[in-house]
Formats: sequence, structure tokens, C-alpha cells
Amino acid sequence: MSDQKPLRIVGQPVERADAHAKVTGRARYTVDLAKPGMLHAKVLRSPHAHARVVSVDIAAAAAMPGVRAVTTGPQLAEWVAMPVYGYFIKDQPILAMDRVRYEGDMVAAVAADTEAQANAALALIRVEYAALPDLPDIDAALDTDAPDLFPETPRGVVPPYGQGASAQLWPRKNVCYAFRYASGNASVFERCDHVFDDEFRFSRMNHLHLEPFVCVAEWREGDEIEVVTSCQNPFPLRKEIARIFRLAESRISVKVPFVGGGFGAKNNCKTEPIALVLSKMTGRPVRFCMTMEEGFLTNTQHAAVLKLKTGVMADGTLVARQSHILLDSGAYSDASPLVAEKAGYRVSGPYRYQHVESLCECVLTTTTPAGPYRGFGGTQATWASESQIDMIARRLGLDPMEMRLKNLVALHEPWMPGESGVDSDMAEGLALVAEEIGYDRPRDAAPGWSRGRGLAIGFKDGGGVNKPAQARVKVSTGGDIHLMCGTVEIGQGARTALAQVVAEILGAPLARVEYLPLDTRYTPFDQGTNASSAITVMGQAVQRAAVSVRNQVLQMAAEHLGTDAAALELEDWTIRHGNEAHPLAPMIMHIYGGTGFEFTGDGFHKQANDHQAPLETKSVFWEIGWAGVDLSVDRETGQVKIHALAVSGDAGRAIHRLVCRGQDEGAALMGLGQALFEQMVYDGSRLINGEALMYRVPLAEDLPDRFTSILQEQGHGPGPFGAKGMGEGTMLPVPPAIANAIEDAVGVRIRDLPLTPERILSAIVAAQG
Amino acid sequence: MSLISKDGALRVAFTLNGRETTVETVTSRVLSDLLRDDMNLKGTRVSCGRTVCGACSVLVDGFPRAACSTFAFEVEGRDVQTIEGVEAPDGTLDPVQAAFAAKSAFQCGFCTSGMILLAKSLLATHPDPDRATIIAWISSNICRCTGYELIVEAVQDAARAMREGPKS
Amino acid sequence: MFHSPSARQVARTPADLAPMPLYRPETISEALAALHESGGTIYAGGTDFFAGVRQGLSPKALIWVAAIAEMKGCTIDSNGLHMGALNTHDESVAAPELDAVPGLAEAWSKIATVRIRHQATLGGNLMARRERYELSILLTALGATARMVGPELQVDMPVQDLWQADLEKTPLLASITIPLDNAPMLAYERSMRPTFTQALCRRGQALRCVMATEWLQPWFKDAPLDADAGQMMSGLPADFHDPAVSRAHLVRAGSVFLKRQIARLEDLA
Repeated sequence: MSDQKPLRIVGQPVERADAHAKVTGRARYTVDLAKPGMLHAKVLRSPHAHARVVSVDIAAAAAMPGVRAVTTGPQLAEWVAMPVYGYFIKDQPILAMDRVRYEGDMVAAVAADTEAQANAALALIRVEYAALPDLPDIDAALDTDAPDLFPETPRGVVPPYGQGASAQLWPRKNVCYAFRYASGNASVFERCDHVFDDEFRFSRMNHLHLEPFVCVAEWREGDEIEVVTSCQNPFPLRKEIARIFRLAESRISVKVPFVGGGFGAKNNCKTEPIALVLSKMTGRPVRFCMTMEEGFLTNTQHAAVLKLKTGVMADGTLVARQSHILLDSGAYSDASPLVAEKAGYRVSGPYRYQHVESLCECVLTTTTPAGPYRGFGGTQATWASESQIDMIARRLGLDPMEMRLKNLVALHEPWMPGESGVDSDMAEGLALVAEEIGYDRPRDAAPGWSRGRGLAIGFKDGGGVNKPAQARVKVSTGGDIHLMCGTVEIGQGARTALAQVVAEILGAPLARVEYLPLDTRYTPFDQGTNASSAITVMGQAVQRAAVSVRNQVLQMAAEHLGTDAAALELEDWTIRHGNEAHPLAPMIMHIYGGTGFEFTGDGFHKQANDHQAPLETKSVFWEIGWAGVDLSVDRETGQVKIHALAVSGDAGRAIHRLVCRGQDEGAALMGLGQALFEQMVYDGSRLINGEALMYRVPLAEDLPDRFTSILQEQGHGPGPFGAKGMGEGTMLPVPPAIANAIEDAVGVRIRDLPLTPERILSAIVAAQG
Repeated sequence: MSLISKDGALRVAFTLNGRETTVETVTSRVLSDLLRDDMNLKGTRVSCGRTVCGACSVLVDGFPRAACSTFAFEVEGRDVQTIEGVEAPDGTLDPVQAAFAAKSAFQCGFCTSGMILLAKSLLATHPDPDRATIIAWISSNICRCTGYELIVEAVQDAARAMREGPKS
Repeated sequence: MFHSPSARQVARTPADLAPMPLYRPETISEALAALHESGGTIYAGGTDFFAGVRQGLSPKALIWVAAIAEMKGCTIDSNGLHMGALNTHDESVAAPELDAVPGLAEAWSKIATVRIRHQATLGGNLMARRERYELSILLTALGATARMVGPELQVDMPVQDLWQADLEKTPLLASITIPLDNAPMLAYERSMRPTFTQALCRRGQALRCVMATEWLQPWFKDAPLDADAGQMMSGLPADFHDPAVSRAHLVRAGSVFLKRQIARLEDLA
């Protein structure tokens, strides 16, 4: 390994591999694709939150000019083997069968020559609904009198769990999944000096990825299909498509070009099943591109209610925590079971406890299905956990930072029994953000305003559970490097970072590495682009593939030169042997013939299965985000002015510093929006700000006066060159850090997001009696 | 008589990326569809479809405008610049493009065309903008990925590069 | 109250529009004739028009009014400050005539974004009749009137009446007029967006305060100069609240801002 040599490419300020394509507008996304003879799909959506579908009349629509196919749920049987999909639970129909479960649920689909013709046809579809009571939120769905959203229980699976973890499908009405985790003995509560019960509520955001949900699907003669899609997990999508259509995976080609943002939303089926059905019906390629408004009706974050009971000694030593989390899963399970697993697992945060016990339930409501969202249960868990830690410190008269330091799991200490050791020194990161915001400086404020400072630590297991990743590196005679792996370039810089790893190992200039287009038929398998896993999980597979190629090349050269491979070095497709330089191309043609050769190296990585580990594998790495906030609150209006926000992530080793910085800053600003104003607003079950004008996301003008991101490289990561995953960690601690700073400023605790002036002012008024 | 087109067909003549251009189109055609679907200039991205996000920004007479919410007929006689017209004919990147590339002031890239055009318009009228001015302009468009800080820095870098002229 | 896209129309895009007759009138009377002839829709800056298209608007014809010179510019006469409906926000703010109302240019310069201010027009902002658009708030505070014209009729109506007015006979907003008697001045508080905004006009010995939220039509209250802010705000109607903010908060925080804005205008005077 060349790890000891100074690095030429890793960690250097190289230009991103996608820079030229993106700054010139040449980058191509799924939304840019058109095929000859392509039809356009549009869907009819339910205007009811919950209703029985009595009848659907498509005759008039089918007779419209340009219309090539119209279908409804009950008619799908002719075209698909399984009309439902879902991650753990197969409950979401491709099109509504006999019932709609949220406003926006898909009822019928049309393919026409133009989008306008498809929309015109939709307008003629007559649907008779019989309204049913809606279940707008968790409380309504859990009410004893609530109707059952799924009178017939959909089928699902519970994955194997290890030490202390378990789960159950459909444990009670309108709850599709419950995850439990426990460690240690609950009896330790009895010897705690204090036990605190607190309840928190978490708001719900839309992903607002700028490239819409879109695919172009083509069902070809002989049942061979190609789907080009804006998707984060092409291989699981392929599996789901194969199941829906009962087709061999080898006949399915899922291709993913550049993806214009996802933040979790673009996992699993979105547009693809409908486009495929319509293509199968018509024998023509079908494009299904949703509008941003339809995106709002397709997938969201999970709202949540979190109840924490925490036992503590008078000196601030944490002893035990019991948690009960209810996630608003929306109308279909989607990724809720996975999010529940993570929220339930992560809710104790970065601290040492003698006993933890958590239950996280997925509650179905008549709203947009909730799914993966940056932070994946960690955002909800961190909001409650890091709020309560501060509250407890203040109740005990302790400094919240001191209390955190007292309880943090140490570097290399297993986080829970059976888990891997934490791979960051968390105290080090906390000190950095505290220093940056002047945690201990005097709290000067303008007249009428009060100044406060707050800290929080976001903590999540990183790299995903059961994530196998494979990669292939091929180098042709002239030294052109082909990198093949299933990580989607969604903006995170994966193409650049993974190419840097390969170039570093092969001693090649970065420009020689080509990241080949992703096609599930040819690209080696990967579980998906999520969980900040690319650099730690796929990175190790890529690293091994590159090392394999390098070893083959050195071995060939050693045999050819009659020496030992250890005496040789590979540099710019030339073998260095002491002072000699042997260009490789002539050597290869001498050995393999004039047409040359191609070296192929495969790499694989999967964290070992381990039944002692609660989630069946030890966490690949730990993603930590630190945040510090300095703010003032107007005591008369509840208005918050953020003077400084400092966040920090630990990249282990940054493969590309600016890319890491962008990930940390983007995540932090998403957290800032969630903390202060961004949210989906519902009137009952109806989303009332489901479009760009009314749905407010952070703009540049929302940046705090001082916004700092501190990139740590503590060097303990398991990825190539010591790298760890990035991109979610700094979103997690921002809302609680702000809530903590607000309490520091004005002495009130806000338990609901967002932290609106109204909530703050009401609390101030209430506190004044 | 103020009727320009009775049946909805019309011809629009305008300057597109420095070239005189005439298209036969219809009154209902919006500029983003004209550019993307009729002229294959896919660098103009469409996202929110209601002027808010600015991903589809193009420069009309040097000023950013949402192409998703502009009829093609409105550019009659006007100068339109898209991202495809930003680099020099020999492929040299514009200083704004170079600064965005060097600073990694993008991630998914979907807002980048619009952000670069926005920045070009800003720097054409404000060669030495302060941070507040840059933030005010950049606040016209949504970037969901970067947290904006790297974009602000890239605009500052581009302004400096433009003031100092090409490097010798 | 909520303009959320209907689930039946969320898939619409401008590509759904059929080619239609296009008029480009150069005078108001040409525009009215075109409207009469075609039953079409007025099109100016485009910002709000396309939001309408996305939510179902399907015009029979387009009356593109951009070239109507008499609908542009600012003038002052004995009736007040007149502003053409076609002025973009940028043009309005840059007009020296705006200085006749201290505080107005500053307030106006803060709404929307740099890009939108260059494109969106005064007329579009008012005629969209969307609660969160801010010109209605400012102009209601200033007691402005809108000149609505039709083929046979011309009406000057208070801008706040546009919300409910039947504009069938007078479909075209030509200009607005801000009366200048008693030296009006304006203060505008928008730092609480997206919760609420508040405009305050002081005119001689009278105050007019306007409160608005993302979803509620602006509410206004007239009061004498020495009025108590809390008392003024307590006049907010019982149903003045939306899913994002309660009436109690609007009264409480609104009173504080009103007190501050009264002081601000006192300093200005």
C-alpha cells in the first residue's frame, strides 16, 4: 500500500470531476432525456384524504386525441404480477385499488403523445368516491374509534436483528411497524437521584430536490426493459421492478445519470412502475415526469412525537433512558420501518447509559407517505435527546457543556454492547464549536433582547446496515482507467472522491479515471446511495479494486523484468524500478500481443454479520455533527436573531476538503430551516403549502451573520486513507442547539419545531405568569 | 389593430447567445420549453415552474429572468443568454464558471446554470460587490445543496478575477 | 383562503396551454377592445400569470399589455401620486416621485427578490390577489386607490376592495393613486415573515395600520395619532388566524411592532 507516501491526489484541491459539465450546463439528468416515439405519462390524483373508490370511468379519456393508454389499479392485473410495492411492507399500490389513503394518492394513469394531451385526458376521467373519515395526524390515527386504514393486513418482513433489538409488524391498529431496543436493566432507575419525563414534537419537511421525480421507461420486444431514472438506489429498485413484473433481474437495465438532488426522497419506486406499465401497454418508451407540486404529494420527512424518560445522578451522570417515539408515516409504510429502526436505536445519543430501552412505532395517517430524509430518524432522535440533555443540566444546575463532556462515550469505546467503537473524539469536536461561538463570553445583548448560546451533538450510526458494495476498476493498455460502481452522483461528489482514491492508488493523474455510466446490467452491485455510506463502504470496495489492479500490473512487470514486485512502483502508467522507467503500454503489448489487454480488479466490502451487534452488523462508522449557536431573542416579540452558527463534522480524512465543506454547510442550513421556519403546513389532511412559493426553504439571505463550518480530520475512519462518511451529521444538532441557546437566553424551553416566535413568546409570557 | 397572431402561430426573432435567431413557434410556448425541447439547449433547468426557484434563469437583455414563466414571444428583439452561451467560443470558461468550478460552488448542479447567470448579471453591474449585495442577489434563486456559502465565495473570487483581468 | 394546488391540477404545466390569439395593444382602449373581442386574459410581467396556469388558468387569448405606455411611469398632481400598473418593482422604487411618501421606497425595495423585482409589475402583484403578496399591504396602508377600467366604465376603488370586487365590467388595472394630503409616511415591518407583516401609515393626525399573514387578506385599522397600539391590535377579527399563527400572537407581537413603528414614524416626522 502506498498509504505511507505523501498523497498526491487525496486531500488535494483538485477540481471536481463533474465541475466542467455542471458549470457549462452540459451535465445531463434524467429530466433531459428524450427518446424517439416517446409517450408522456400523467396521473390522476385523489382529491380526498380517505375514500373508497366506487367506480372509475376512463372511456372518455381513452377516446381523446393522442391518448395511447389509460389504466387504473384494478386493471393492472393484466400487466403486472404484483400491484403493490414497499421496502419492508408491500402496502403501496402502483395505482389505488379500491381505496385512496391521502390527498394526492394516484388513481389512474394516462400515456399520450404529449403531456398536454395526457393532462387533457385526465380531466375526463370520472371517479366516484365514497368519503371515509380521515386521520390527519398521529393522535387521530391512534384513536380507539379511528377507522383501520388497512382492513386487510399487507404482507411484510422483519429483518433479523441482533442483541437487544427486535421488531413487530402491525402491532396495533394503524401502526405498521414497531422497533424495540433494550440494553441493561431497568432497575437502575431506582437508584437515580432524578428521573425526568419530557415530550417533544418534530415537524415535517419536504425534500425539495430541484430535479423532479422523473424516469423514462422502455418495455422492449421480448420483455427486456430499460429504465433511466433519477434514483438513489438503482439495484433495490431493479429488485422491486423484477418482483412487480415477475421478470428476471437480468432482463432489467436501470440506468442513472446525474441526479439533481434527492436528500433521501429518490429511493425505491416513485415514477417507475407506472411508466413501465404504460410502456408495456403501448410498446413505446414512456416518460413520467412529476411537477414539484406532485413531489410534495409523493414523499416527505417524518413528523414525530418523542417521549423521553431519563434517569440521572445529581452530579449529572446519566444512568438510564426509556424512549417512546411515534413517527407519522403518512399513508404507506415506504421506508418507515427503517427510519423507525434508526430513530429508536439512535435516541440515546452519544452518551454512556447503564440502561436504555426504546420503542419506535410507525403510525399511518392520511397524509403524504413519509420516507427517507437526510438524517434518517437521527434528526428526530437528536432533536429530543439533545434538547433533554440541556434541560436536565439546567435542572441540576450544571453547565450543559460540562454535563455532555461528563457522559460522552469515549473514542474507541463501543457505543452499545456489541457495537463498534466510536471513531471520533467527541469532546474535541464540542470544544471546537464552543470556542467558535464564544460559548463562555459575556452575553451582551441589545436593549430588550437577551443573548444565549447553545450546543448540541448529532450522533448516528453511519454507513447503513447490510450494505454490500462492489466495485470494478479496469485499466486498458494505454492506462485509461475505468471505474465502475453503483454509487449515484447526486451532488455529494462521489465521482470525484472515488476517482481520487483510484488515481491515488494507481499513481495516475485524476483525469485518467473515467467514472462509467451506471447501468445495473453492467455496473457491480451496490445497495444504494444513502446513509453517508459512499466513501466508507463503496470507498473500501473501490480501494480494493484499485489495489487489485495495481498488484496485477506490478506482478506482470516483475515477471517481465525478472524482479520482485515489491521493488517496483507504478506511476503514470510507467513502472519505476530504481532509476529505470518502463512505460507499460509497450510491455503489455509485448506480453499480450498487439491488441493489448485490460486489467480488471474487483473490490467488495460489507461489514461482517454479527449477531452480537444490535442491528446484525456493527456500525461501519459513526457520523457525528457538532453545532454551536450564538443568538439573541427579542423578549417582547419572540423573534430570534442568530449571530453565529458553527458546525463541525469529522471526515476522518477528507478526500476532498471543499466537497466535505459543502456537505456540512448544506446539511447545517437544512437544519437551520427546520429549526426556524421550514415546514409542511397542513389544514387537516390537506397540505396547504405544497408549492415553491408558499413552502419556504432557506435562501442565502437566511444565512446567519457568521456561519462557520470546521472540518475535522481526526483520522480514525475505516474508509480509504482514514476517511469517514459525511453529509448528514451537521443537520442533526442544529435545531436542538438553537432551542438550547433560546433557553440560555430567555429561560424558556420550546419542545416543538419549528421554533417560531409565537412559541417562544407564548412561553416567555407563560413563564412570567 | 393589436392582434399579433390569430391562430397562435408566430415568428420570434431574437439574439440567442450572440447569434441572430428566428424561430417559428406558437403563442403558448414558454421560453424554457422553446430552449430545451425545440432547440435542445438542456442547460436551462426547470424545477418549480412558478418563477420561485430560479433554476431556469436566463439573461434577457443582461438581467436574470425565469424562463419557465416567460413566453417565447416576449423575447422578440431582445438579447437572450443561456448557460450554453457563457463560455468563450473556444471553450474557455467565463471567470464566473471558473470560480464556481474551482470553489466547488455546486453539488447536484441543478441550480448551477441559473446561479452562474445570476452572478454574471450581478458582476456586470457591480464589479466589486460587498457580501450583502452578493447575498441579496443570490437570494433570488434556491440552492438546496450547498448552504450558499461556497457560492458567495465563488462570486467574490470571480469578481476579483474579473477586476484583475486574465492571469498572465 | 388557501391557494394550495388542487390534487387534480398538480400535474399541469404551461405546456398544457393551447396556442391562442395574441394581442399586443399599445393603448388602454386597444387593450379593452382586445379583451372584449377575445374574452382573453391580461398578461404583463408573467410572475403570477404562470402560477395561475399551474393551478388551472386556461386563457382563451392573451392580451399582452407590456407596450401600453400610458400604464407606465409615475406622476404627481393635485390628486396625489399616480403609478402605472405596468411599473416593475425596480422601476417604481427608482422613481424620484416616490420620495413624496417617506418610507415607501425603502419598504417597496424589500419585497420579493432581485430577480423578481425586475420582472414583476405593480398591477400583477395587486391583481393576483394572493394574500402573501405585499403591495396590497403597503398600498392599503397608504389609502391608495386603483383605477379599474372597462369598455364603458372606469372606477377608482380603494385597493383593499380589489379582494372582493366584481371586476367583470372593469377588468383592467391602469394605475394606482396614493393621496398625498397631510404628508403620508410609511413604516413597514417584514422581519416576522413568514408569520406576519405589518405596515403603518401616518398621515397628519391619523394612523392606518395593516396586518397580513401568508394566508389572510390584509386587515386594516384606522386610528388617531395618539391611539394605543394594543387597543388597535385588539380589533383584529376573531377569525384572523391561520394554520401557522394564532390571533393571540398576532395581537401580542403585532402590538409591540406597532408601538415601535409609531415611534419610528414619530422620529421621521
